[in-house]
Amino acid sequence: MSERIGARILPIETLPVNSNLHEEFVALCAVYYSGEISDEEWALLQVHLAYCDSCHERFLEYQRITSSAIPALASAAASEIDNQEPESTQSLGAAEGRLMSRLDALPPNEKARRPSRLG
Amino acid sequence: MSSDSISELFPLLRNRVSDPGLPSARESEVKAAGRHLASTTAQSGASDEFLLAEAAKGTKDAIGLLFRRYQRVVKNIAQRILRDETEAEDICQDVFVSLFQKAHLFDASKGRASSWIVQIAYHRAMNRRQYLAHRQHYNTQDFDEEQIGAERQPLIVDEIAARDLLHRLRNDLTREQMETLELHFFWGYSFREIAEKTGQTLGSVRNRYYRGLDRLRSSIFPKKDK
Repeated sequence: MSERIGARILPIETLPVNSNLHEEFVALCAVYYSGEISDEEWALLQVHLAYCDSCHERFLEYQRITSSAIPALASAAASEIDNQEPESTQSLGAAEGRLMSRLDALPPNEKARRPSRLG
Repeated sequence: MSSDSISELFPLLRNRVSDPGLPSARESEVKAAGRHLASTTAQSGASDEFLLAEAAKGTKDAIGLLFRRYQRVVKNIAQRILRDETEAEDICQDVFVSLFQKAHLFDASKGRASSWIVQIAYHRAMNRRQYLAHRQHYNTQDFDEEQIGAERQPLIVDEIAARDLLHRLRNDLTREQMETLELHFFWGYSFREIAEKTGQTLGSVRNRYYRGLDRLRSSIFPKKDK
């Protein structure tokens, strides 16, 4: 199974409808979001997604998972083991100072639209 | 969502839990906050969402406050993926510059500001990792900040749910599947690197990744399970 998913080229003549291949496309939907899909696989997957509603739906679900669930999970995992030394007030202040310098250096059109009218 | 559970998840955010409904009376507080605020000021009650709204109007000090609240969370994520403190520092700075530039895209009805910051931090760190490693393309066109900010759908997993989900996944997935997902998503390793680290074939890594991610998908979208 795994070797078939990893196959670089699927014969184009087996498209468009082949129930065995469907399983591979289901897997490719997930693999796409790893960035580790070959150009050939991506080309074939795009064709498949155009007519397979269930794969298309799954593809969008993986997109949502990768976009927001994975970052939240990664942050939860990173917070479990926080080995960093507590930042000193001094170094935090210096880092914040660097950040503020960068914000000041942004070209005008890069800055937020209009100045705050607070106060 | 209790502040206690938030604190457990992000100990650093203790006493800084957001309240999207915060009154505008806080505005003067932000205005009064100088560039180099005392640390106590960073724990003031202005919500993250309010601060982002202020940043969208051009108030840089609002970003300064968010920086104090979240720089550690952002650095933890980036440090793990990049394994280099200087790189993690740089990503951290970039994230907050980007927050200032993109604050107007934030939509509080779609999720919390903290989730948005975590999303931006994560995808930036993965982009950087990909760039440094010359890996195959990470499909970032799907995750640029315009999209995350403006068109994103309501968040499917918030911070609290993420912690629970992480525990559930560790129980439900095989050890190999979980290891593969963690190495890839949390540590930024390519499939080839994972294969080398674990002594598996590339096909086997790919299969474990897919099986693990599919279990994750089933737990988030259970009704879609066949």
